[in-house]
Amino acid sequence: MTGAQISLWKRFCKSARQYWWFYFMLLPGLIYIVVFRYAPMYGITIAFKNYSVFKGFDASPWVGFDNFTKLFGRAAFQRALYNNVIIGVEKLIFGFPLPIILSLMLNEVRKNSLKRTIQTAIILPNFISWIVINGLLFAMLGTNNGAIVGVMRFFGYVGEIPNLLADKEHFRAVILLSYLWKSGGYATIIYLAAIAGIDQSLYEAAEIDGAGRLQQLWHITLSSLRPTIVMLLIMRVGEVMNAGFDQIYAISNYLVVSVADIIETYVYTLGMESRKFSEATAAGLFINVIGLTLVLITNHIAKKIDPESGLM
Amino acid sequence: MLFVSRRKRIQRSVPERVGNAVIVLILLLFAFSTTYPFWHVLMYSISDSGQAMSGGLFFLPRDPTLVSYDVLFRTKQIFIAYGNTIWKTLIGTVLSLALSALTAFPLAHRKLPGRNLLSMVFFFTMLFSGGMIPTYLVVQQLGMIDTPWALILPNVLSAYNMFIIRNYFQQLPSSLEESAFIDGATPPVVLWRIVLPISAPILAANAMFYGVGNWNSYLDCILYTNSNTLQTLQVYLRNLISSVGSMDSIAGVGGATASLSEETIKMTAISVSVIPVLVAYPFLQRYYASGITVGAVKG
Amino acid sequence: MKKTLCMLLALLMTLSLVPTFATADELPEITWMITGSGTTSDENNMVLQKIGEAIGAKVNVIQVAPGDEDVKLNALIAANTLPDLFVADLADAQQFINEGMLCPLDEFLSDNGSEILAQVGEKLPKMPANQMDGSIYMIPGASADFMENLNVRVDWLKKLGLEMPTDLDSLYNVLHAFTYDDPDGNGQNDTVGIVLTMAQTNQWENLFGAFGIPYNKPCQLEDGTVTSYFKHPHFLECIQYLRKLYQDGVMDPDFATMPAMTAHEKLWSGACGVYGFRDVGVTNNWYPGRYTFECPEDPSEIFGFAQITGPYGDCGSVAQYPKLTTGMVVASTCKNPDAVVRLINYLFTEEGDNLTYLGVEDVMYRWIDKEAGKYERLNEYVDDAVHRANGGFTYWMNMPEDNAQLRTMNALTQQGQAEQQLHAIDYPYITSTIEAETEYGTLLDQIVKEATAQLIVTKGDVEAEYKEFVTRWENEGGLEYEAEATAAYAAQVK
Repeated sequence: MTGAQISLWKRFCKSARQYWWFYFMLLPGLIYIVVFRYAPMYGITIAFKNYSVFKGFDASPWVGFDNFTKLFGRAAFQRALYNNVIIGVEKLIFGFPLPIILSLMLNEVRKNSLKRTIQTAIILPNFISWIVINGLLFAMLGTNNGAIVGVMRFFGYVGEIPNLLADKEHFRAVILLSYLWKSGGYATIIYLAAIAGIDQSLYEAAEIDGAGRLQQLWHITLSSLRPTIVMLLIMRVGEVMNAGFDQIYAISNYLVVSVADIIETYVYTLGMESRKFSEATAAGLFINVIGLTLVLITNHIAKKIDPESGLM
Repeated sequence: MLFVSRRKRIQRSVPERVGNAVIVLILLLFAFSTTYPFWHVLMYSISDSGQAMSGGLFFLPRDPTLVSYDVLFRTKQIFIAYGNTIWKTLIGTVLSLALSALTAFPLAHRKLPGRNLLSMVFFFTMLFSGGMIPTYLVVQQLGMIDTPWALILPNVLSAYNMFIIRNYFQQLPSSLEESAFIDGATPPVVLWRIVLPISAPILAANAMFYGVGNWNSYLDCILYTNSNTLQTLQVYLRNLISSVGSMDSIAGVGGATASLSEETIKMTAISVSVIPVLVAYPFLQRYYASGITVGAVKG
Repeated sequence: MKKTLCMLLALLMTLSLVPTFATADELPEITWMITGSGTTSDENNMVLQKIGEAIGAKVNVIQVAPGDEDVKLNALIAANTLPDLFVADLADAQQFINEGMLCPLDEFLSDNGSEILAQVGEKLPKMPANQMDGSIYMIPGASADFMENLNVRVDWLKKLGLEMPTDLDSLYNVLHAFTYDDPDGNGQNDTVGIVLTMAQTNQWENLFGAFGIPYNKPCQLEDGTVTSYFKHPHFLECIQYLRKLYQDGVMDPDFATMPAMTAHEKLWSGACGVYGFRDVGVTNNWYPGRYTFECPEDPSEIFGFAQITGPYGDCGSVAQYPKLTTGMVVASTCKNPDAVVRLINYLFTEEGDNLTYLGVEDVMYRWIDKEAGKYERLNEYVDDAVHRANGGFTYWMNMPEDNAQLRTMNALTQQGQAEQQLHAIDYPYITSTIEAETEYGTLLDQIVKEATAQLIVTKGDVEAEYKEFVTRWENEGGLEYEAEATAAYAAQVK
């Protein structure tokens, strides 16, 4: 062997050794998800079975795609699917950029104490359940002694004031706005952490080059955030069909159910009185297969644009 | 602190200052709207029930009283529940962070053979799960039912949080690790000595996510435990709310509790479960909410 | 730091194991899953110990808040680790029995169940769950549920010089006066005639009852078809009446969006004049101002009950039948079924009933006049939180017909229940499981509720919209339900 070959061999041994270390470090995490996540996954099969919790998984008979056809065939499901897509996409389009904008704005706040106070304030709604928020919405929007009505009457308005919570035309806006308001702040934690990780010497260099703040924002902050944004977007796209069960279950009512019923609330209603795990699992599988498909597509596109980015 | 001094050196132009003022104003408005509900909850909890239920929004307590807090802390079970939630949160968060960082580090290594496949294996668990019952059966077969482990292990690793950490690791300058590897350091040493110390922002952010998740978790306590000695705060509070509101509680005619509406107890319960989080929050926040200098990165 | 945490964890784990070893020796142990009202009692409290002493067993209680019982029970079923004693409905019980998961109780009943047999012995064989293979599996409570009353503020009536309403027109007049004539005399327009909320069924029963409609229950048409109350011939008429209340502002306009708790608050804060609910709640401890002033000695100063008779002579709320489809069951995995039956039996005795409802006598409460049902709570147990922490009310299952709750009610409430029972709206009470109902019962119900809300507020053609909803209801499985329910009821009556 020549000297060059020897050094190559040495490098290979070294990297192999390193890789073994890497795999070894992955082991606890892998064992964990195999035991607690993959081992129970046989549960998905009940989407194709007529599962009875009394009989157990093995004894429940296979029924093929019966659960899906039963589910999709119902008019209420089609309505729920339609609402689900609209609400889910709205939440993605408006909800995804909001924390980025908030984080960039926060980053421009020079006074550290003010910045921290605002940042604490905007994550607060996350700790208040939708049930309580529903009570607050009612206190604000109710027709009898709601706060908004009170304010408008105070200013002398005598006309009719619709209860937005009972108004089919505006209820989806109520869903979207309350969602943005509740969840907008929480994701800033990730972006702020990513911004905190940006090497400050980049800013110094840019300033020496005479770059203005907007240019710094664009060329340094945003471009450093790009991998984080891309990764979060890919993961978020997978959840587009999760239109927010907790929220809608809490704030919906019979007057707006036709525009607010989503797949999950529908399935919940369906299974409320009997233990209908099969249909619920089928609906969940449907939602998540769509999610996975969208994730794979987004991931592929991201990698086309920048091979370094992407989740997988 | 390089960050601050840099800003001070530069004289800011007028449009820049106006722009800043607008940004602060918008943020303050948003912050006000998000603070209000919690304020409402807090004020409601220290108001007299009878006054509180006349409806409307709260800016100040009506006929202030601490009777609901008194009622809440009158039983010894709430201290058991608080204790359980505290150790569950502390131990759970530490374990979660350790496991997530350990998993994220190899996956952040772009050259690792099989990296994409392994990432996929983790990502898949974000979308698909076997459901509540099969997971319960696993926990049961591991003999964890009604043990402290059941409150911690079933949700110790979140793929979502792990990927956020991985993403951060990927963005660290690769020169750092490489020089350490050339010096003969093994990957665990590199993770512990070099990567983790400069990852404080993302670890703090994840500590927040895991911590809050543990603090608020509810269903695992309902499912995996039977006895009251393992009851967590959220479960206790939920039981308390429904016991006050129960229409059949006709036996309930006396004492301080009888003057409390379910709503007041609910607001008090929210307050006592959120306030500790708010107290702990600034300690984590300072790691990521202000521009820290990653000067060490340059090595 | 890490070391301390590990130690802490180890310590906690050891602690959690201790009780398992310590008590495994003599007494038989039973587990009892309690759902229903949430419980916050301490472990091994006074009442639980007394129960244990009375039946000679150690009782381990699993407490689950309302809304979580299904989740918990599903997991326990799947793992085949059922609690020894729990409550099941018919649909579940049938499945349990088919899978051999319940314990037949016949022999234990004859040995240890004298009180059970005395009080519900005749009911047992009538229960469908006990007809499946000839064995007794399910033990029901002896008492039926309470009736819903229309509670009216008589102090307001007096102030405005009005009579207790008796028909729909006089009810309308009273509601109108309660809304616009300042019944509380505070000079402000802050009252409303009636508060209804779709979040609960209680508020609606008496209004639908005046049209002979059993709200939220099946009804039988003239041709013998059993169907939803939605298709009752007078349904639309009732809707028209509700529309009038809505349009004229004499009922709260937010009926569709109002959370149940807000509706109660309207009653408590003195903003509402008429409220549909069980008088048991309203007159026994729910006075207006419950939270602001002392309850009056005589609640009839404030509340009375209206019996509203409609155009066809109908009146009242939905009839309550003795429960035949739900009751206590014992798991076949239970090691001490005799002890479990002793426990159930104890809950049927006066001693057990009083203990679980009021607590330990002479420690937590004292009778003032036992015959009249007057008692007082003692010392710190005056407070509900302390009373419950020590096990008061927590384990009360409402088993005997003449129970502590009934005996300790005030006179007005007892009278209200008695009167209301005279005017019950009968409906076909089907005791077998109807497949279409388990299959899409809640979806059908949702259509009916959606229709009710929509028809009350709509500005369009009410009749046309009603027909549309009926068609939707029929196509979504309503027809199947009708056919099945009609057949099932016919078979049952025969």
